[in-house]
Amino acid sequence: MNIFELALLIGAFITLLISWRVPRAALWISLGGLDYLASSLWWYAGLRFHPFATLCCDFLMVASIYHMAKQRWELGLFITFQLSMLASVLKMFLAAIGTPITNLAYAQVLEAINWVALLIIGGTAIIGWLGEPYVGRVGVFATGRWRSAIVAINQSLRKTRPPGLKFYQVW
Amino acid sequence: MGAEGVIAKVIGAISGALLAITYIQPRSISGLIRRMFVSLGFGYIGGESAYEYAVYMHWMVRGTDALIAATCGVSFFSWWVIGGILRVIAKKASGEG
Repeated sequence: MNIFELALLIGAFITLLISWRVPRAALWISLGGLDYLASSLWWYAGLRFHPFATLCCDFLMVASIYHMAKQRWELGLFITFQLSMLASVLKMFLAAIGTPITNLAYAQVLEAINWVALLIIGGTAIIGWLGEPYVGRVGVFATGRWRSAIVAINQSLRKTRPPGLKFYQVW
Repeated sequence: MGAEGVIAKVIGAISGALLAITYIQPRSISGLIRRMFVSLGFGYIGGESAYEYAVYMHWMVRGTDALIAATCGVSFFSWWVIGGILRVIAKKASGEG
């Protein structure tokens, strides 16, 4: 385990701790962790076609979000993992046209995408804390314009899809 | 390209099909099955031709990576290309075109 993986693990753990009130946050963090673990194991095992393996892992993540997500903030995660799939395909295409990007650059892009996913979950959790009717009355968020904005953003992020629609149809 | 080519084409076709259904989601399970079938089939069949053309045009460098990418591209776009061809045929058949 290198320093970047350790940092991501700590980041995931902190996000898990602060997002215990967000529904399905723990599910997405654990599934994302499994996704990361599977694609890293493929790479460390020295197997070929690792962008394809990463693409398949990301597809499973995207499919899980598509089927299980209910709230608007989860669309952010959906788009993030779509971009991760696109990064894998771009790696294949850049190798094909004769300008391959290094494995390090590819890994950095995937790490950045994972951090964005954690930020989306953590950000939703923090806005959820600040937008709570009683808990979130702290500092500049206690009253006034900031308070109303945070409450409005929180309500918007937590908007749940009506039955019969997919979660992205409430965006 | 032998077994390597077959593996490359399978990988490319699956990649293109997965990317296509991720970006434009099918509305039903039957739609999903139809699209996967078409994407995988056309990717596998047409991938090598696309690869040869891309190499001939100097867009790609000859090798496994290029075969994967070409198959992936064909697999990704096949659903929309077939849809366009079918629309043109339907238009001609109905006498509007």
